[in-house]
Amino acid sequence: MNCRPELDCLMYVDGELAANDVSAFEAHLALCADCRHHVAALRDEADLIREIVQRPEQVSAPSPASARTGLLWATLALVAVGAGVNACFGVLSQLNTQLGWLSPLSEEQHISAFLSLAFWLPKEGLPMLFTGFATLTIALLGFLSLGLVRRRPLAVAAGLLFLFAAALPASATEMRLPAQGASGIVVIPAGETIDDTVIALGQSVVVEGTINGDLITVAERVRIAGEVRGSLIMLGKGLSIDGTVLGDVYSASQTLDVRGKVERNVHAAAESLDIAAGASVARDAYLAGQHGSVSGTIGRDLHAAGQGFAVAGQVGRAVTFGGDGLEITPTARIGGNVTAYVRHAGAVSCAAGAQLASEPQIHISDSHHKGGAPGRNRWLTLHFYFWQAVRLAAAFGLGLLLYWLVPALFEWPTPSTGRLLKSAGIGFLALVATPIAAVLLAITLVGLPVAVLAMGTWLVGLYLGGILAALVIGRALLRSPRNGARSFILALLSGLALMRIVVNLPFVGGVAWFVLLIVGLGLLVAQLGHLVSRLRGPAIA
Amino acid sequence: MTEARAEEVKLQEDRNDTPTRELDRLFREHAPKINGLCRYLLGSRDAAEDAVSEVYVKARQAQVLYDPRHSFAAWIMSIARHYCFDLLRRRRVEARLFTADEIDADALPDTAARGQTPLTRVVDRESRQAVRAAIEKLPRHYRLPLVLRYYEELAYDDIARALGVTRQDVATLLFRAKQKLRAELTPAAPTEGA
Repeated sequence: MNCRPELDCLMYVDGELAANDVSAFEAHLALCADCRHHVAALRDEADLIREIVQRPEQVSAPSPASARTGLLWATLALVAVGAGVNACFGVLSQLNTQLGWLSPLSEEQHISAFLSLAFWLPKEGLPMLFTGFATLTIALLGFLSLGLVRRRPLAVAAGLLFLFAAALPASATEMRLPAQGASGIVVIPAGETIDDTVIALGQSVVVEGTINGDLITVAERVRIAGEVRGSLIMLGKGLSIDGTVLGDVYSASQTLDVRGKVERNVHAAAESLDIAAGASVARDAYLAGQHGSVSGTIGRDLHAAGQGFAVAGQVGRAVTFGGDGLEITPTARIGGNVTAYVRHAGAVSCAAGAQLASEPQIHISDSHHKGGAPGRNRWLTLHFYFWQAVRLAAAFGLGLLLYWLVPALFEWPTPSTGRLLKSAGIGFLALVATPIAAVLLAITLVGLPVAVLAMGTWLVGLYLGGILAALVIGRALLRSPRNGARSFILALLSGLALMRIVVNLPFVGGVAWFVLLIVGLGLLVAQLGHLVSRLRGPAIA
Repeated sequence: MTEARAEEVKLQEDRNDTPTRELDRLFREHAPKINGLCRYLLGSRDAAEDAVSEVYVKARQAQVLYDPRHSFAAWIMSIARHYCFDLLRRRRVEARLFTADEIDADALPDTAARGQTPLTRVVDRESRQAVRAAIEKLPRHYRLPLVLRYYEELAYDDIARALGVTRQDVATLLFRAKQKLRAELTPAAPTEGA
């Protein structure tokens, strides 16, 4: 029998056979049972394909509601991870009693703990700090993105700005600006008592009276001759405390001179720091600066970092120092241990007359070895590998978490040289521009919290950028198809491992690190931009 | 059907007042179908989600060009199709969806012969899932015509125009796509000439 070609059967079933062929085809069908059966089977097949293809999938795309629930779970998971990190800090601090102050579980003030942490960083705390920081920031961002941001991004941003600005001077505040003709000087004269938190802006700020609240001031010169019963927060060039501050002192300035009394802690960064004879800090002092001298009394611990520090006064408990040179003069009285992290043993000098609870413990820090300084090859120490592994694990864990949360962040077209260069350009801009913008913001007092947030985001961004850069390397290395969790894990792991090796190479490591950083940061910025533009699209089930 | 038409006309009329809201509503209505098309054409769920957002943006941009005499579905689907094809073209070095070689390639049995038995109706969910997976795994030059034919239900001529091939090519590609599916799904069956 003269059966029709298979292709004709298909076209007939699809209704695409030319009209004059159809009649001939159907005439054949009427005669040939074989073809009739075949055409019926083909039609059945076409219907089946149509039905399967057109029917929505069993596992449907997440609806907005379930996406929101997912976000909630993700946030909860993040909080759990945060608690885990916290617990890790706890375990770590028990490992080494010296790190006891590190534990945020202790009753010490959190700010103090944070500042103390800065002294631990020159050792090996960075990845953990960053992981914790990233966790917090992501949790924050997760909450923010709950619904609102999608709909009203501007309103949310404005609201946040307002909240931060309003939250800073928590209670009633009084704003002090220079009076007309006072040539930029704000004076709170002796005898005047202000019951509020005071914000003082001017060229010079002089407090001779009493402030019952906090004093927040940005000025070139600040002199406290009277009494501040709250805390003192100060940004400027020169700060001198001749009177009394009952709360904490937080200051960033060129010079800091304390000749009076501070009843709680001092946290200060300055080029030159001086706690004069007769002055006292009732609790801890955290000092960072180029030069510093402590001739007065510090009730508890002294933490100092800088080029050169001299201790001539009395310190109730321990002295921790990190930097280039520590001098302990004959008049010094130190109740606790002296621990110094320096580059060479000669950096610490201890005069014969000084009274110390024990011999100073001097740690020569490996990471400061440069040039011809004799030191152990760090590639040969177990310590080195342990911390590299910790860093790798931290970055890997965070990468996985992010992949689980926002897989789209890690999807980009195959990178070309041009794209990488562009990415590096964006990254370099972000690297440089963010701190500058933050400083500019910080100068306007209202922008201070925004600046802090921006810097936090920047730090997190640097870390995440590193992860993205590692992924670029890993994918280039494996030449893997980009879909699928397994290839992601492989690429991330191999990229991170290679990155850790390269970054630790002598000479080229620093340059490589910088390049990776700006490429990764640029990629992150681009990917986030892409994500945001996606979020602004329609909400689709 | 007339109701849908009325809504589309309304979109046209409201163009100056609340056109965007109307577009949003219609778009949301068709979104699952657009998503499905993009999914089949691009071969990835995430890429499809991205594509749907992009298609929305393009629809917004092209809103004034929408002719209410034609169906909204056809209009939006053609935007989606064009967008996906553009993406697919960009993934390749040359600016074509597939080459003539690919159409002629694959030493599959002669299109005149009746070698395999067509897929019979399978009822259980696993088999359906397998068919779907096999379709998604088809090479591009088989997947595209198949999806345009059985998902979008386009005529051969429209498929030929969209893919830039002849009508005869469409028939051949569809035939081979099905052969490939049959071979894929009935591994025990003898596949002549493969």
